[in-house]
Amino acid sequence: MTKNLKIKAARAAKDMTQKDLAEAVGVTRQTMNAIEMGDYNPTLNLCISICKVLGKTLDELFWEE
Amino acid sequence: MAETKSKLDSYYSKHYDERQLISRYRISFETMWLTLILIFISGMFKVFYGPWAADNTEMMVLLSLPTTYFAVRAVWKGAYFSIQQKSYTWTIVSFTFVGLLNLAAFIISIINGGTVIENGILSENLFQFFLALPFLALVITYAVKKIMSKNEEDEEPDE
Repeated sequence: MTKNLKIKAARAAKDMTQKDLAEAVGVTRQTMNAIEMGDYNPTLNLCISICKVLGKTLDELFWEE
Repeated sequence: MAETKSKLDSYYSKHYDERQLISRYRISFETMWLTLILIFISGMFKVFYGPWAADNTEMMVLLSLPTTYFAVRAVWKGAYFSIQQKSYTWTIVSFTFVGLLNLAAFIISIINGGTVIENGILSENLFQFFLALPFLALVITYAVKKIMSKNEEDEEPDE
């Protein structure tokens, strides 16, 4: 899996750390890091939670061309 | 979602996130196989060669090695501690204390003339050592992981 730089960019735009985002969606920082690094493929429920917190759509954060 | 979750599932879902649960299931499965293999080897050894350890040491080895495997793998994968646990300090301090206490008991028994092998089998003195093993292995793994993951913190440069 490739790194998810879109989440990292959206998170940075909201001035959130990985820890902040992880707490907001109810996961550990390691899980958030694994998602951004492409080491873990999150469930749809977690993807939706991340999108809601970051104010983005699923396409914007998770769609790969 | 359909109400198919057991109480145990609900408990784990509250305490661990989805990645942690997957890791824990995987590691638990590996640990189960390790336990079965160790029991099989121990049994076969006893059948063909006789006892290989004092009774309580044998029990502790068969408990300690799988427990150590689970603890080390789970800590390494970030799947040991609950998401609700804000600080691990108390857990780490208490595990270190219990580990060192048992290790000290083992060392004292050796200093006082105890041996590791008696009559060709592992002696009862090793009981304390194998009791200390999972606690100390967990603490050491946690420390190594903590040092290594400092670079992976949020402020990390892009790798």
